[in-house]
Amino acid sequence: MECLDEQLVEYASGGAIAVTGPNPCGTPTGNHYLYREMMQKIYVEHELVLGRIVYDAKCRIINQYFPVDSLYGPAVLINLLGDPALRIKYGPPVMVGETKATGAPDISLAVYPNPCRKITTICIGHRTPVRRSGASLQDFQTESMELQIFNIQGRLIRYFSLCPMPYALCWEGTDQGGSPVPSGVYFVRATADGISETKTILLIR
Amino acid sequence: MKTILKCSCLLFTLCAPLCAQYLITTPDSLLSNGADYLIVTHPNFTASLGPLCRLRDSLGLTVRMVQTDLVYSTFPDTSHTKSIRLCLQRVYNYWNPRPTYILLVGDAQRGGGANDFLPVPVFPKFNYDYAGGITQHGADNWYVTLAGNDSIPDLIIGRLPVNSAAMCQNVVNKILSYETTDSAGPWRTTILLNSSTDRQVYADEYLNNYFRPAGDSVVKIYESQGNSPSLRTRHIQAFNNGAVIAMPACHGSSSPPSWVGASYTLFNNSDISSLTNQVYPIAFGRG
Repeated sequence: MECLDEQLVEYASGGAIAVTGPNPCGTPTGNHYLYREMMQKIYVEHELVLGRIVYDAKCRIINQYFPVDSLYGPAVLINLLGDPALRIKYGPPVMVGETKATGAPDISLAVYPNPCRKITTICIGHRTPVRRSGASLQDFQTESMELQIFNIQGRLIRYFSLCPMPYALCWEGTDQGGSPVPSGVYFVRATADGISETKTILLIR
Repeated sequence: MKTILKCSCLLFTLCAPLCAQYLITTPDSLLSNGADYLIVTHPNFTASLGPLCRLRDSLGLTVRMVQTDLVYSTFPDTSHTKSIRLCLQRVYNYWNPRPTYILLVGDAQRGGGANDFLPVPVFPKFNYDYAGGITQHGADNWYVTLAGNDSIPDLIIGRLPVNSAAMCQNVVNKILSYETTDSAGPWRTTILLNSSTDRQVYADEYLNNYFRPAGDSVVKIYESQGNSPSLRTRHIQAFNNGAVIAMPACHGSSSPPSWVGASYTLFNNSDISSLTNQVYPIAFGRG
């Protein structure tokens, strides 16, 4: 018999659009860490692409807690039953005629985990909370921004053009050509409308 | 066998107008191609996936689709799971652009069988104890651990665990409805949060750290608040009233398939037939 998760996804007249699971259960701490990361992705980093939420949460837990089985095991075993490109309809939709906030952006830049072994997630957002009072994420988005990663010598090794904020991306420790960069200190700089924010990344291979 | 071949030809003919432009049909084009969104499907479901291909295409993703029979013949190995992984390794190494998303279409059945349309890699047990003494788990993660000697996935993967073309059509229709319907309403900030008695501390953390600060409307269905009939009824009502996220912070059971607590059943598979919700939650089934 199919598990409950599958039946919820497959049911034609209702149910769920996607499910994460089944998972081995039995490890409340490990599962909790994983799902805490998923909620972090939605509520703090405002990521709404389902596959990205699951993927980033798994990467962080595996990267951070390897080789502690009870903590990274659930992340390895969790399945996404659904379309990974699905965009979660969390939050009120943008209303036609709403005006965007104006003024200089107030950039926040977070790198997690840091130090990192292989992959780290770079989150760019606003210091000011962007939701509530009926506001949607889009109300506060700037038109474009740039993210650059420099090595300790100040040489630009990787850049991204991003649009719009808030945004999160995974850096796999590679340069613009896709080649792995060596262990060391790197600097990530986000720039939007002439305002910059810089953070240090420690890559340990 | 002849019947199968005839059916395959008929199926391809039927689906050709819908998805021919996305379907990879030769080994050469499987070895060297490019896409943002790659579907790997059992041939039974190809015809049902045309609308999903067009949706993703219309949203700006380059879409390609490949059937498992071509994967198995192009990347022969000792098992179908190894063939699929070899294929994805090739895709990861040589496709330009390299796909961001991998969608597997087809159910898996441990040990093979009629419903093993697209097999799942089986992971050995980890060192911790599993509920119910389970020692192996199917997990798609292995398919996308393609760089380095670690368990970190290198592509984003999901699966539609369907068993028939009709079921695949249903799931695709739900996705299309979800993505294309202008479904404004309070459901988009409503959370269904359940908890078994022993997992309430975790449910409360999600409640206090994420849902409440965001101002979401939270439907709390905790085991401590009722008994099996009342908890099951409240779950059906919560689904039917609409929620954007369902967070079952409880246990799972397989007989029957259920969300359960220590003493009561919170929701089980016989309740699904009472669901009539036209807006669908993502269920983050944390266990």
